[in-house]
Amino acid sequence: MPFTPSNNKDHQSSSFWKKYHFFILLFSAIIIKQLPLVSIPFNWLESYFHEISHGIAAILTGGNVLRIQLFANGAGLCTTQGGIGFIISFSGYAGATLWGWGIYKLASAHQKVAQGFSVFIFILLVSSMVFWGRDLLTWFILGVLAALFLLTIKLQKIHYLQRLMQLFGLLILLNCLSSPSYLLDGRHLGDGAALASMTLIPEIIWVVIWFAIALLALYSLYKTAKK
Amino acid sequence: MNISSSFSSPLFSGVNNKPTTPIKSSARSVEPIVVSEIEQEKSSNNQAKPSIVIDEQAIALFEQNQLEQSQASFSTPEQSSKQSLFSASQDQPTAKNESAVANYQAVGNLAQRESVQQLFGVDLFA
Repeated sequence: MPFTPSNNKDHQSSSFWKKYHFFILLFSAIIIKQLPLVSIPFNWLESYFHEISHGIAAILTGGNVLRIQLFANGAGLCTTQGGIGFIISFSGYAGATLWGWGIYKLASAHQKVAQGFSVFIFILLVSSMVFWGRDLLTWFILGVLAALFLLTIKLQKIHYLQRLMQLFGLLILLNCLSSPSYLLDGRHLGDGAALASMTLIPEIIWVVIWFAIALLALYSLYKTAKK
Repeated sequence: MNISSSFSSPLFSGVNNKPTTPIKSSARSVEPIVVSEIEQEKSSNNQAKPSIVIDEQAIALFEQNQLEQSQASFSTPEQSSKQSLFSASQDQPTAKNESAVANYQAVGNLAQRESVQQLFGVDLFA
């Protein structure tokens, strides 16, 4: 291929993307998070992965999920029965971080893997609607999230699917970084308070642990992107 | 004639012994002691008279007593209910037995209570 100025430009942009794509996506995620309306579905996404992590932990520890509730402001509730309380409580924020990290990692691995994982999340969302959704608002929120993932599956260029999935992963991780701090409101409510009452370790320690896990996951993604 | 009865002694205590129609000697007396005394008297006075004397009044009293007993068995509903109440109170278990049954039932209810608690014992995670 003959060397032309346009080719040189493409090559430069490609190398620039390769070098800084993690920071570009991270910056985009930070911007999206600040936008009033656009950020809402992504808050729901983090909230869903938080609640589904509680539910999966309950199932894995011998309990069962009765209901998942999602609210418009990004709050959520997971009603479980049985299982190990400590693991279920801890897995909310930690699990959401794992989901964010996993989505980014798998999307980066291979185009087909990204597509397959997107289909898996879509099925999980639909299953959650059927089995654990009990109210209209939760069904609506889950429907919006399912549509979001359906759009990514339907994308003609799988390359864009990968970028979108990576963006979703980073948005979830950013929410995981910030949301544990909401527990420090002095009301002694939520997962941190539950863990504090179970273990006698103060709530702030749990918040710091969750924050550290999310930070570690972000650093891991940065290291992967740097290679 | 065989007379078998469970007469109490007062029936015979002040008895006006009215000799009845002669009875065969093979007859057995109801109250051996009393009858034998009378018999001895009679035999001493008149050997031709029968050896056993039967008190008509005593038999009448016995028959009356039997009749009362049979009537009691066909009593009115009120009477029977009173009787059943009386018998129910008699059949009531003692406090000791009642506490034993309560303890037994409490153990049986433990599993049921646990299942109900499990049914409603849900956890909420925000």
